[in-house]
Amino acid sequence: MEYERQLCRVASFGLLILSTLTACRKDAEPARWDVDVLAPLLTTRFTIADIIPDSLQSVAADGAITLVYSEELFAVDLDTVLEIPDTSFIYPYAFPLPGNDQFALPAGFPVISENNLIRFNLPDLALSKLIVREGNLELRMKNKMGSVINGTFGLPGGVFADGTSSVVATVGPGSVANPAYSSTQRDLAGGSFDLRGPSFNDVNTLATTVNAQLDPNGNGASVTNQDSVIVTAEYSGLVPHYAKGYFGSRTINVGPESNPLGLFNNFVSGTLDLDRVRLQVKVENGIGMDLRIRLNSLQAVNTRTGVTVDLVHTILDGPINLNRALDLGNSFRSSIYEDELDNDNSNVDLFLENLPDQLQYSLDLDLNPLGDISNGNDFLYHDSRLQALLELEVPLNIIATDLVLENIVKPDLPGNEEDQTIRDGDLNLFATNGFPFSGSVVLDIVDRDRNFLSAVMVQGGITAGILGADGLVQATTASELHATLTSEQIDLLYGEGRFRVRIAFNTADQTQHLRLLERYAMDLQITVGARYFVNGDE
Amino acid sequence: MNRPTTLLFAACIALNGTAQLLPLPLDTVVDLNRGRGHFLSLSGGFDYNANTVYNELPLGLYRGGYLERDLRQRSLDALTWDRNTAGYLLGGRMDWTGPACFAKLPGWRPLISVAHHEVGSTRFTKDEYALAFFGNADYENEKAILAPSAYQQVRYQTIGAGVQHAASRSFVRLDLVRGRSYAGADIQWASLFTGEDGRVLRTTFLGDYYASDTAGSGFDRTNGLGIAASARWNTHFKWGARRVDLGMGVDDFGLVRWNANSVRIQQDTLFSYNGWAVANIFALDNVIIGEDELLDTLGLRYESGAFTRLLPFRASVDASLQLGGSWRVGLGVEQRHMPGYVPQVTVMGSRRVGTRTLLAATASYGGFGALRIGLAAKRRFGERLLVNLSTPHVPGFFLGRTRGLGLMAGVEFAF
Repeated sequence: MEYERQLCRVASFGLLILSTLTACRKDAEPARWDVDVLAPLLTTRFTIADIIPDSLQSVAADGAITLVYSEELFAVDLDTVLEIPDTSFIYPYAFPLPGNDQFALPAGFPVISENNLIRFNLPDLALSKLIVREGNLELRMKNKMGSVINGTFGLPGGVFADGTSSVVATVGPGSVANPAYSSTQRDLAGGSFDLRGPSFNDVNTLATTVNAQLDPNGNGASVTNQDSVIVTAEYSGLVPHYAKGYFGSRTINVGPESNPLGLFNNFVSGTLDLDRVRLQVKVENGIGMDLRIRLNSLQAVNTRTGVTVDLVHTILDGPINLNRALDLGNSFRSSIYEDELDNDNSNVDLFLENLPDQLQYSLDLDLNPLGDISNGNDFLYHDSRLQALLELEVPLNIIATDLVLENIVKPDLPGNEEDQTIRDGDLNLFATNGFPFSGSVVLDIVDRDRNFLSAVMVQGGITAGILGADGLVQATTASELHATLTSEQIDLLYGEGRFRVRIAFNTADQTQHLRLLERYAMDLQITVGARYFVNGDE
Repeated sequence: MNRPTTLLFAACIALNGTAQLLPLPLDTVVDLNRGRGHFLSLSGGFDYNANTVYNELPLGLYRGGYLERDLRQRSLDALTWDRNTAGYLLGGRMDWTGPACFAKLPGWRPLISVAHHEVGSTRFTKDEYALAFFGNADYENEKAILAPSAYQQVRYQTIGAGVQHAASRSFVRLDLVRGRSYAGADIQWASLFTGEDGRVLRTTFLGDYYASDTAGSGFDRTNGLGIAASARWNTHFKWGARRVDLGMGVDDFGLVRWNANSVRIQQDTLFSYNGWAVANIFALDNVIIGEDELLDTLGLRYESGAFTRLLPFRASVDASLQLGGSWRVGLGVEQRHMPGYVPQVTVMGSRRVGTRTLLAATASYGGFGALRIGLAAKRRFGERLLVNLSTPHVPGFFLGRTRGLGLMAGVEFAF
């Protein structure tokens, strides 16, 4: 017992001493401390390619850059001119027996033998030939007779891709109470159909034959006036590979519609004065019919500033008549209309200087404006389309005045919102500028919806490269910008906040256009001096 | 488990142990009667020491929470340029010594021992400390010298058997070593230059880093296997009329082969960093610093493969002189195979109090740190139980601005 007491004292003493250490430990909270970090963050070289991709640049031998940009203004596709709806035809057969009479039919007895003409419902169109690119024929049979029925569905005016022109289908024995059903599919891709009917003087018409007989190897059937056989043929998903006929004379109104234009997406304000602009309008008609286009309006819309500029040019004054495409047998050659707009015959420079982010247009399209002058020989291929392209050429010979380029950057800060590792700090930007324009930087913190949250003070600006007498940059200049981020701003960046960087560019000489050369570049380096919390600050 | 056993077990778990700095001298009056058949001893402890960093810093790291700048600055002010060391030893051991059973060695007893060890140490420069605790901003336009420096942390367990001489307590033991984790870096040369405004970071680095399987080092994992030998030889002789006890020994002298999942980095490189090269200034979202990019940029990808390392063994020599009556003085020197460890010299004065208690005071210098003042005691309870308790540095329990802290304890049963 004495040992036990002494042992207790020893153990308790040991635990007591150790508790001087362990009782103070906050297990959930690691040690943390702040260190002042000074380090380069990133380097980059800014060139014209950063705002105009190489694919949109044409560089002359002297290094001068021309912006070459192509945009589809509008297109009228196949389905606008020709659309074949899904169509079903029903072939019923019932026995005309009086009262409760029954009649025994022998095996092999023909129950249906019909020649029919089916007409596709194609308003405004008078097709004489159709080659199918995609489509399906489904034969559904419903049999109330007590014998297997063998059926044959023939298209005398058509040829399937495998060279046949009929479909064989079978349905099992049924009864009045429990009819038998069957479904047989036939892929129509590659099939060619003469839609002139059996006398070759009709349109949209397909001759068909339907034959059905009791199974010759069966036992025949006893039928009443309640028994019937119904064959349904459904054409679905028909996409023409080639169609020929008369496509009608009608007017299609297109628009007003807007197309996004990504060329100036990064510019949010300011003015850009372009020396020369050349815009080529190219309209291709790949459809085998005459077309007439009346371009009612073509507008450059800048949704950021709310300014819209209407294009002024003779192309908007009168109709554009487009000849039909030429049928080469298995393909076609489009007819092409071209017109060129420049500073002298239009306001295309002002149109573009609006820095549009949308092109808005409306037009009327007349099909066969002179009627059926081809005598039913309009045609189209699957790839036939009416397409208007804008091809822009702008030599980068500019005057930029407070032209603001905007970019939103969400920095990937170490740590997270609850456990921030950066408290405050400085951002330093070092620029070596070889461009003939200066830049001033506005740095804001905005939320996900770009609502302003806080302004970051930026000291300094980017000076322009030094110009020679020829208006070209002869020497680079070095500049420094410094921005201080407070702990409150860091908090925002750890949350939903993100940087909105706006750089306002001004060309060094505001009285003359300055050429931008391929060799121009601006080297940028960003360094950071920050108070970094090891293991976070919470 | 009865109450005394439970308490004893709790005490030993609490007092994880390691080899005592200077063993209290054998005393035939206080010690257990060696004529008994079986002896079971449990010992454990920890010992932290540093030669420049004040205790308040590691205590702050241990306790968690914010480390005040003043606290960090005080240790920075105390650092030398390149000879700063810190280290710790943590462990526990259980020994069983049985009755003599060898016909040809009648004075020798069988010995079985199991132990757990966790040791770590580092040698670092003042600039390394400053970078770690204050950052590189103060080094703008200057070079921080980061070498020579080294680091090692090893966890391992041993189980072994040997023989112990009943009278002198000399012993020889061979242990099987289960390696749990190893991490070691040896940086022969390294520097970091921070350019003006942070426009460039320029590093030079010559060194290597080895680590055991990084997938885990839990108690259930064996990441290495090895073998080690421990031995101690005790003798005595007369110096004039006085008796001198002399002992020397080595603990855990052996090797561990860390398995093929171990990793290493060997670098001899110059590196200049100007920032992440970004292709397009308008595409900066999430460009900053994924771990993979960082590792690629700095060339810090691991290579895998087994390696062999010496255990952090300990070699020691000690002697004590009987002064007459119950007084005795001792002197010991020990060295450990650990980065930053220098031979530690310990002097001790002891006095027997009554027939059951021995008290001692120690002063030591070297090891991971500087001068330390310690106390030690052992007391026998009845005829079967002996308890040891010692600390190498008493002020460590009371002062934050001192260096070193440790506590060792042990119990021995005879039955």
